[in-house]
Amino acid sequence: MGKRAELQVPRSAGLAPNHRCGFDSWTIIYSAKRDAIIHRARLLWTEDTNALTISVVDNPHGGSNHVVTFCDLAQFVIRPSALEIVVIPLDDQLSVNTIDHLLVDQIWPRLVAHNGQLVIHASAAANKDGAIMAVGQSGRGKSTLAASLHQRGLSLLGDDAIVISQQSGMSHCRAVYQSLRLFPDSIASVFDAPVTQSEVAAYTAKRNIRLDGTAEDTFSHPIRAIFFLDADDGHSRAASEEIAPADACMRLIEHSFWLDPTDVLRTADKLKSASALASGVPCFQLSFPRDFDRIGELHDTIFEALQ
Amino acid sequence: MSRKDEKRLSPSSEAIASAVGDETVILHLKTGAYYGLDPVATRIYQLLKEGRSPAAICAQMVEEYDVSQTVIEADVKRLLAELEETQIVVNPDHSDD
Repeated sequence: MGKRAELQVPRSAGLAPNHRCGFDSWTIIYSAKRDAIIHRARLLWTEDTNALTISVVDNPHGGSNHVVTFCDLAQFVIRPSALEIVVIPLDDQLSVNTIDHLLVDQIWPRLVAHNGQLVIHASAAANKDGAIMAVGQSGRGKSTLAASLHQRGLSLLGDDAIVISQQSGMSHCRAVYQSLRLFPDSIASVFDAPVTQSEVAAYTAKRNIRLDGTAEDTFSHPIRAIFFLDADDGHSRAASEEIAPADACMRLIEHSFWLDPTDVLRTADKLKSASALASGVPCFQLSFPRDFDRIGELHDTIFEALQ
Repeated sequence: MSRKDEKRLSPSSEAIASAVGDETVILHLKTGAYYGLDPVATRIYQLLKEGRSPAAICAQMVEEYDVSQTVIEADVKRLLAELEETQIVVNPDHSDD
């Protein structure tokens, strides 16, 4: 594994068989055929929806390789000893955009996490006072909230994978990669003017948004607060409620990225990092009506909680 | 606490714990489940880690908290049963971990 501070976002360059694309010290290899090694893989973990599985297979040259499988889409064989990721399409129609999306959205955060850092499935926006993180399952409004805070003048760090670090005893965050992906109704509600957009992946209607004229915020910011977005849609008004550190710690673990959940040492480190984060940063449960027209109320609730 | 409740229990080697303020979060590595202990449960878990028996834990808790022996015993019994059920603590005489 490369140096932890120097992992960079991968960018693929096309879907030709055996095409090699380098980034940082890793190489991505596109393979046209299934790797026989996968059939000897030992299942480690299956996501609740069965859309994603992670397996491990012993490397004959020492160590082990991880195989991340996205149901009916693609498999990614991660070979740490060779610093290679082999991409094996399971769908003949798999697009470059979809592979890129899976690489940056699912594989890269897991590699960063496997490299020893706590990576949370969250969005984040920051101003001079620090960063606000929004944590929640996909579809709960993380990206819309981050985009709306950006429209209010905060800088956008990212909308999906946020890496945590401790600096001088304070928790800081930065995006694993900067991104903003929104459904069309969110785009229409959040932005007054047309924005540059492109396809995220073939399997989602979300669109990549490029924030023209905005410099990428790749800096680490001290974390001011973390808001866990309520899954319940039935709230009549926006409200926040501070939650206990232990509860927040468990939620952070639940919303963190893993490559190997059976790795005892890494899991212990992750729990330690989540404990430090939850102990030092105020955490809130945030409930709100799913109404784009009332997003101002949501902002007011957030900033009141920060007082 | 009766003698039949007095079985040996100890934290599982499959469980890792981390202090979060005055509370504790425990993650079970095999099941992937995690649990939060409030300050009182955290103290009980600490005493268990020190190798105290359930009866000794109750005696210590009665000294430290202004609660009756009956209440303490019920709380300790319930917590240990939950932790055993979720494999956070195990009976080392019956454990292969």
